[in-house]
Amino acid sequence: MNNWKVKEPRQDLRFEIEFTKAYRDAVAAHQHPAEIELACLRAQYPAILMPIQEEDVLAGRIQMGLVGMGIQGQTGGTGYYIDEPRVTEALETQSGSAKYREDLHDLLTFWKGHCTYNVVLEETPAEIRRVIPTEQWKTQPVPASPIIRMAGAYVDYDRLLRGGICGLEEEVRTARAAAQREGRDVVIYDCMLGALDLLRDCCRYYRDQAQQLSREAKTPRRAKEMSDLAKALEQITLRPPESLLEAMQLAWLYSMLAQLIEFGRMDEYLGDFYCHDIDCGVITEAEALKMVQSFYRLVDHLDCETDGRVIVGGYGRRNPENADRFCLVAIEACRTVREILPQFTLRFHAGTPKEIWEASMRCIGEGRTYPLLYNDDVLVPGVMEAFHVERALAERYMPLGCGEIEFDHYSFGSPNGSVNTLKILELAIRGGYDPIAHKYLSIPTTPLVECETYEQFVENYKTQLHYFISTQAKYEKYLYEAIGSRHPFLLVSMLYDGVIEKGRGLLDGGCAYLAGTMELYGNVNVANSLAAIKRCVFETGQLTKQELVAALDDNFYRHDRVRKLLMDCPKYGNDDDYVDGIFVRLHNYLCATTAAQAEKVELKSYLSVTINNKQNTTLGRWVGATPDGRKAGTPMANANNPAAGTDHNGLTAMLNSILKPSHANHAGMVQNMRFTRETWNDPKIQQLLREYFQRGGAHAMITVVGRDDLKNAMERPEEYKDLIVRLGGLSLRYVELNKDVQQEIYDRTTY
Amino acid sequence: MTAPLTDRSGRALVFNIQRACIHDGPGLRTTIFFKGCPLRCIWCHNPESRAPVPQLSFQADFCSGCLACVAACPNGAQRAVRTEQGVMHTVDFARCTACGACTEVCCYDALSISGTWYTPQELVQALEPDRAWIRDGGVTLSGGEPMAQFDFLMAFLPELKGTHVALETCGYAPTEHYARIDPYVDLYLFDYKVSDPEKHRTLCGTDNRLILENLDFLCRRGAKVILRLPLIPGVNDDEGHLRTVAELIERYPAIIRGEILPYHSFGKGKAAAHGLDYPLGDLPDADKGKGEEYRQRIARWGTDRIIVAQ
Repeated sequence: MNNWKVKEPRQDLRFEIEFTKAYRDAVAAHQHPAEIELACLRAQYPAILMPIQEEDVLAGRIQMGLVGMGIQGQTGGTGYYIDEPRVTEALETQSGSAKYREDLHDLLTFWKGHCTYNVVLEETPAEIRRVIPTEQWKTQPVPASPIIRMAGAYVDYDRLLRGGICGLEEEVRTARAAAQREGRDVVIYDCMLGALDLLRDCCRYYRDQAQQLSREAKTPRRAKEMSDLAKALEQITLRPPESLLEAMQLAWLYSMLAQLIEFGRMDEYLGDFYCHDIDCGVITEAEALKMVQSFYRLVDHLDCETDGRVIVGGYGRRNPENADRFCLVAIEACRTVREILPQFTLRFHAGTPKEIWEASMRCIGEGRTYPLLYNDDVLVPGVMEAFHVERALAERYMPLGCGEIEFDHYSFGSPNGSVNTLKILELAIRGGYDPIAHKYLSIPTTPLVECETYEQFVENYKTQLHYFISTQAKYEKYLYEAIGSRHPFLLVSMLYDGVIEKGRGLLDGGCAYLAGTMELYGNVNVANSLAAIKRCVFETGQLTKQELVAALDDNFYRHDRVRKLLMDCPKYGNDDDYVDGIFVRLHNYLCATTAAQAEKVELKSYLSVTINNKQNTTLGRWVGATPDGRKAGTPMANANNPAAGTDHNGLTAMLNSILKPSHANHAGMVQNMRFTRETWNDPKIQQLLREYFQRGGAHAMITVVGRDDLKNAMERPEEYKDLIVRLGGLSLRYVELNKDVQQEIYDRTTY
Repeated sequence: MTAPLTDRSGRALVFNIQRACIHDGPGLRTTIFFKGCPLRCIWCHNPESRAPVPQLSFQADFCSGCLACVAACPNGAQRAVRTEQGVMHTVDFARCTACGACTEVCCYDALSISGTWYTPQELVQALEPDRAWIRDGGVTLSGGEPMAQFDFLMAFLPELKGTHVALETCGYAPTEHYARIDPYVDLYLFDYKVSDPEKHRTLCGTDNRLILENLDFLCRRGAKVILRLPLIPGVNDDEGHLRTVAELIERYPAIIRGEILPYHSFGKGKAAAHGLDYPLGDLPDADKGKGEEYRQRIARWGTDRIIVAQ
């Protein structure tokens, strides 16, 4: 559960008690999931809407309840949810009347068996549960874990803003009439209309609040901002938005009711409004910037750190000229609102205007990490091949969350399973037995010590991988069905292509392209491990299989020589074809095996992603020592990056390595790069980046390091061996400098 | 130091190959640091570059105290000493023969050998990953003093045909060698340290006569030269030196510009890691303004071809 950034959060659980009652009443009164959902939406809004704050020029802060209705983990929870630990904590620490406490006990016991999470967990088919029995990947050694959520819908903001609430209603009414003529279900349409009515109510709720704030404002400027906002909120209930302010306000408030945490191609859906307002003198550049800044702060208040995407640039926009003009404001807002969110994303290609590229580089250079860079010239053809789609659709690709690719308001591809390939290697070495849990966690295969050849071992490993990957695909399909039959997600569904015509919820047959994604972790360490096994055990014979396994079992304790031998084997990230080849073959196997599951489970596609978050650390915690020399419990390499401290051959060699895997067989792969400010600001390094993209680089997330990183590097030098700093005309590894020199650089690095 | 710096099999000793360098000549470059130098500048920022032999490096920060190296060392250079904090690891550099046995067991990158022997072909091979990236840049030879491995360079440089080559040199090598190598070099990064011959001997170990002759030779020949100027507060930043710098730049049109390198103490940590003395002790780094002050002082003597290196 997130910590919503609101000034005066609700302290008691009266909302949660009321919501529980509303849900009970709804279930008693209705059969149709859409009716239950609508009743719950009404219980939730405007109850969880929070006041407009002093820094806001747009309305719409929320504080989700500890009980409520959401989509994915960050929006409270999936479906009908309860945050059990925090409700329990409230019971143990909060005072209140006997009735209040009784109600808390009531809701705690009630939701145990009714919340979507527990229901879908409980109903998981036995054949799936046998293979992936627990979703507790944070605390258990698990080779593969289900992830219960529905992550990352990208809705059609452009349609919303061009037609407004009334336009959507019109579409729904037309489709309802057709359904009625054909004798199809019309309840879902009535509920869609009900949800839009509720949206209007919420606009008016904030309109009144804005009017009051205008009256109470301390400065004329603030009074005007609030009266403008009140007018905009009124207007969008009556007609389609006509100004940037109205458009942004409608997009934002709709998102809050739909509980969206990805904010689409903002330059496309706001570009026309922005250009109109500027060109007609309705607003100034400064006012436009302030609105976008306010929007970003609202994204940030959601505290959904792995999501909150705002995407600009790239092929396939309806209005590229206007969109590009808006792009510059969007980048400037990103540079100036120095918060964690939004995850500001630039799609670019050979024709991207120079000013946009330069503004982006400047933003990155200030240590913002954003924009995240996606190269359309590589990704669009890659997506066409991986997803088997035409170019026009591929141009609508959208990275969600940590980087899984979907198609804008067309496909849904929630990542609902993770596979820890390094853990599975650990099992394969021991024939399916886990040395951490001290039990079999997989099917039995021939353990390494009994394998005659390297190839035989690799085949066994692949058998293990296939076992988990094929099950994850089944799980994805199961979860869509289990959640889709209960949750129409009305407001999200309405803005997906074709849903209104079909009259089916997004996950209940409504989505034209229902896909799936599977998260991979540990691949780089696996490639390094396989290279070490191949070389030391099967080629040079420097190690026997027994010696290797004994050293791993002992976490290298008193096996320093063995560990050093393993560490000195080729490592991914040094442009060494021996290990890079192993990595590419592993990558291709994983991608192909994952992709092959789509047909079996009847999804449009099922693809793997190699992404960037903290799971390389969390999942690594439960993996013992591995043949790449990694010690038990330490982090695995992050995404498609060399393992920490193993790329000894410099930046160019590292780039050569990471350019080797294909981008035509997966749904996302993340690349991190780290520079100090002095290095980054040299035009030659930015030329290097352009070269990287021209030579096939798909993605880059660039960190220009600031003080915190340097401090961490002083404290944990082993994790920062790759960090190069500029000093008096020389490039040097930061961690090799004298402590006092490190301190000096730290002192003069200011962001 | 008179030891032959190229060993008999025609190999050269290299202590670092740094990729994606941005300040060692035009464009993006790969810089090769050759080990061995005829000078002994007291401010040397690469103290491990001086001796023409492989040397042990010990990064104390990375040491986990596992003591595996103590058992591995055949010469007693890796030692365990009992202190109040328990048994600690220490290195007796005097006993070390740089055999590398300890590096075979160190899993924490704390111990390594500075200096690897390369044949010309091996060094060409080592540059292979960079080919596509340095098209608009090139290769820079640095050190140590690359000219101290002259025979090797004469075998190596023809292999780099078509690549822009910059040679960073202290200028202390036979003039005839510069004449022979010049066809392969596109740019000289020529270090100029001290103007007074006796002071040069005190601070750098030799006088500067040969260095000035070579600078004169290259400039008259029409070579492209950037003068690199390490300036150490209170050591070689006297007005006479700064004035001579300006005069040199103005005398030779071949000198593109002078680049001031304000003092930094990062040689200190490297000296300690290699068990070497660092004569400047705790002399503080020159701050940002110092470089600009030097630039103005040199400019006042009548040249505008002078910048502070980034």
